[in-house]
Amino acid sequence: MSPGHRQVIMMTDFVKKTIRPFRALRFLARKPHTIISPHEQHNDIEGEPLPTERYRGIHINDWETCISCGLCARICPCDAIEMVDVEGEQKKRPEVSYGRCCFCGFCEDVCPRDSMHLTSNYVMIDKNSETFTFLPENDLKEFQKEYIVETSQLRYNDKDVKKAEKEPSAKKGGKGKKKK
Amino acid sequence: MDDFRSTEIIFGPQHPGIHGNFAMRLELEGDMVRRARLVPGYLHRAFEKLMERRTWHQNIALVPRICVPDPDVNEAAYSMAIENIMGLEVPRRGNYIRSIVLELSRLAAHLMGLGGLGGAIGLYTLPMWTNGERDYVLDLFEALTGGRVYHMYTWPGGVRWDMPENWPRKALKVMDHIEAQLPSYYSLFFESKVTDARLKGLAPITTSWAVEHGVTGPNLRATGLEVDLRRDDPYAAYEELDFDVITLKQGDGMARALVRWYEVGQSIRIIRDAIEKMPGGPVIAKTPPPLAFMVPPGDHYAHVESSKGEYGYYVISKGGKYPYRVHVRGPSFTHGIDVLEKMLVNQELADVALITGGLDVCPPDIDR
Ligand code: SF4
Ligand code: SF4
Repeated sequence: MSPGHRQVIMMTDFVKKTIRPFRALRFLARKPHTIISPHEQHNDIEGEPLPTERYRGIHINDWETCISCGLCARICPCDAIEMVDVEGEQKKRPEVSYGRCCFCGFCEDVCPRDSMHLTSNYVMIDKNSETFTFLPENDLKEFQKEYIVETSQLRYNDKDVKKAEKEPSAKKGGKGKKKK
Repeated sequence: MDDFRSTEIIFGPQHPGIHGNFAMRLELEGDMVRRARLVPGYLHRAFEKLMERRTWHQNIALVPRICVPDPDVNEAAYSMAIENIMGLEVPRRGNYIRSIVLELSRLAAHLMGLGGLGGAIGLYTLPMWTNGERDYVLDLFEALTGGRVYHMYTWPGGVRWDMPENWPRKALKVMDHIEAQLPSYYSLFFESKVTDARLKGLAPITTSWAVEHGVTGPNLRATGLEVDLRRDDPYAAYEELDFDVITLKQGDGMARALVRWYEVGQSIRIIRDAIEKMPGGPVIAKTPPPLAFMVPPGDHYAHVESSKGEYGYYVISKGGKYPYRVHVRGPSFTHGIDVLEKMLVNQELADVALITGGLDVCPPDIDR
């Protein structure tokens, strides 16, 4: 290879390596990966909404079938479940503390009556931290439901975002009272 | 040496260039590092001790936390050690699903590692892209295991649940998507003048030096030695799956990054192959219920090939409900302490973050 030839190769290499990264500019026209939560729905690659059914979120417990055996409290690796006395109930019921729970789902696996379940709802917003130690019941708690309804009705457009930014305290939690 | 010629600086843990929660004390002469001392311990959570007080199954919720970007290797190695002591045979389908999960985890970890490397040389487009694609992998994990980052999916005896019906289709779609992105990563990162200037010839190591200092995984393969536990000591379903062991000769920063880029392609190939060959049957062997789970006395060292190197669990049982002792052999412990201390000597300060990132050091695994 002659020196001149090598120089030409080096030049083309230089130009190539300088120009190539600018191809990334075409991504400017693509939709971003990030979403404006909660105004936009998070979808997977096929456009199906997330979280999926298996997602391990907030617990529910069917009190009709729960036999109060306490296995869920024994398997819990984080010691998040405590069996507590409930007013008006003869049996003790599992109480979950979300300060400790790691959402492993072992309590669901081990439950002999299939009464404990982890729902795919993961939104936990409340001003009162006491709210997050509660007795899972047949249905989601009030403060969780309120939030779900609100987000599902919202569709993303600029007006909504601006409105939400203006009134940050529009969504109030704090309805979930501790049962004792 | 004259005392006023050298400066000592503390690099990390609050430094954008450091890979997690650990610190380095660097003795500098001008811009050159003359001596480096690693200061780990910021993330010490005493996992090994904690595990002695928890039942065999409760530990499954604990072990993935030892390596955050690549959590599934922990569950797999720990479960494999228990299975070996008990003489449990994992059903074939369970093994296949394990392989898929392990490869997805490697894929996610490599994407994150490559992105971090892009960040370290100031090319912030790459982390945006790779983390965007990694999110699709996390979506897959969510649909399969119920967790996005910590999956707690591999149990002693197999895996916790079977795949959902539409999951293989989704997985193949994500694989197609990521494969289509790979050339653009290449042209953005590896064909860039800046990457050439920063990574080529950066802190080269030779095979014999690497073997002597306990370097494993992609960092060792980047020096030209063809080692891969998936092929040399097959576990899960790797014996029946097709893949190549990627090696490069140079042993420098560029080779270490390129090996990871090629391994993403291989992971995609393994996942496709495993989904195609997926056998039927149960996913978990018959085991006693978790609360009555006892492991007979014995000990075993199980190791797997993680995205960072050899990952091993040495488990001792004296019979009963709790492990007697669990020891974790993490690749980042060797890469992040001994190897890094030696490699940083006579390098420029500006390259410190890049060398750390290139070795793919994971501090949670150093401290445990
Ligand atoms: S394991 Fe199930 S049945 Fe037993 S106390 Fe817990 S929720 Fe109730
Ligand atoms: S999900 Fe896991 S950590 Fe949470 S309450 Fe159930 S067993 Fe305990």
